[in-house]
Amino acid sequence: MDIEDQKISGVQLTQLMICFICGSNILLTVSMTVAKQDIWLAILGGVVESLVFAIIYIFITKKYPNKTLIEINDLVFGSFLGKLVSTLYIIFFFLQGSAYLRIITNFFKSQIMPETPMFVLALALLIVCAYAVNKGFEVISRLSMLFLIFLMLEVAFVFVTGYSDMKFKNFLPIFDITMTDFIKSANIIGTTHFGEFVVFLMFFALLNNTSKGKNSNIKIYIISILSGGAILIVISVITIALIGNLAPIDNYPYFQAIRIINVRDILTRFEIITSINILAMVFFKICVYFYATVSGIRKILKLSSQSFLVLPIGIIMINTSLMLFKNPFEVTQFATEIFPLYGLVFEVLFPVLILVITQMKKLFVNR
Amino acid sequence: MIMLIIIFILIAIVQYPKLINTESRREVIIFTVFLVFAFVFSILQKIGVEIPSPYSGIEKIVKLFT
Repeated sequence: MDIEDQKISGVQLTQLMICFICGSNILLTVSMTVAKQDIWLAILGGVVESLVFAIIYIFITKKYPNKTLIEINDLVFGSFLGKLVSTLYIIFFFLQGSAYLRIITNFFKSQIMPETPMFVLALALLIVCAYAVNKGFEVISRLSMLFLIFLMLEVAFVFVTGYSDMKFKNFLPIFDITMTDFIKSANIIGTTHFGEFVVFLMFFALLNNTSKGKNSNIKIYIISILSGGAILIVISVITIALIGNLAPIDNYPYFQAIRIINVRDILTRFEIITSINILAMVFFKICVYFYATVSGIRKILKLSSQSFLVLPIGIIMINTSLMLFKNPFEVTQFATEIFPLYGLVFEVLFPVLILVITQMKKLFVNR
Repeated sequence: MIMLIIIFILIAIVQYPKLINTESRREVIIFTVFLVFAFVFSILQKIGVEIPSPYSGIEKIVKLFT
C-alpha cells in the first residue's frame, strides 16, 4: 500500500494541530523578553492575528480540497515558477525542522544532560522521527491524542500543586506595555506559534471523505487555534505567577517555574515530567516538518515512493541542525528579530498570492 | 570516522537491493544523489570544516528591508 493512501479524520488533524502549537511553547521566552508580565495580552493579540492568517488558509483549502501545497503551486504559478515556489517552501520546512531539532537539543544539553554530546541527543530524537515518518502520517496524527491528554493532565497537575506558590501580584502593573512592544510580541506569537500552520496545507488532502464536509476546515482551524491559545495562556500564567520578573531573563521559563513547586517537601522537583512533555510536543513539530519535506520532494520530483528518502534527508537534517546556530542565544535573537519577517513571506505573502492569482484567473476565464 | 563510513555502507546495503528490484532508474539516481550529499556533509562536519549557516544569509537579506 502506498503511504499517501493513508487517510486521517478531522478530529485527528485537530489534535495534531494543537500539539503543533504546543511545540512552540519551548520558545515562550522569545515573546516574554518583549512583553514581560503582559504576555497573556500578547498571546491574545497573537491569536487574533493567527485567526486572520487562518482565513487565508481556509479559503485555499476550500478552493483546492484534494491538492497539496506543491500541486496548488503548480496549478497557480505555472510549472516553472510553481516549482521554484515549491522548492522555497521545501527549504523553509526543512530549515524549520532542523531549527526545532537544534532547539530541543540545546534544551536537553543545557538543562538535563550537560555531559552528553549534542550530536547524540539529536541522533536519538531523529531516529524516532524517521521511524514515525516512515510509518506515515496517520501514525503521527493518531499518536498526538495520547500526548495531548498527557499534556493537559500535566498542566492541570502543575496548576493545582503550584497554586499555593503562585503570586498573582506578579501581573501588576497591568497593561504596562507600549504599543510597539505589544505589536512586536503579538507578531512573534502569531508567526512562531500559529503562523507555521502553513505546513498543514500539505496535509489537508489526506483528510478522509467523511471529514471533507462543507465547513470542516473552518472548524479544524478555529478549534485548534483557540484551544492551542488557551493552553498557551495557561502555561504563561503559571510561569509568570510562579517566577514573575525572572521569567523574561531565563531561557526556559516554564521549565524553571516548575522547579519552584514544592508541596510540603513531599512533591518536589518534578520538572523532568515537563521536559518529557516538551520533548513530545517538539517531536510532533519535527515529524510534521520532516514529513512535509520528504513528501514535498517526492511530489516535486514525481517519485513513486518516498520511504527511501527518509534516511538521507534525516542525516542532512542532523548536520544542518548542528551548524544552524552557534549558541542558544542566537536562537532567541533569530526568533525575535529575523523570523517575524522571514516567516511572514511564507506564511502570508505566498498564500495571499495564491488566492489573488486564483481569483484573477477566474475573472479572465469567465470573460 | 570509521563508524560514519560503516553506517553509510549499511544504509546503502539495506536500501539499494530494494530500490533496484522495485523502482525505476530515476529513484536510484535520486537516492544516490541524496546519500552522497549526506555523506559529504557528515564528513565535513566531522573534520570540523566551518560551513556558513543558511540563517546568516537570510539574516542579511532581512536586514536589507528593515
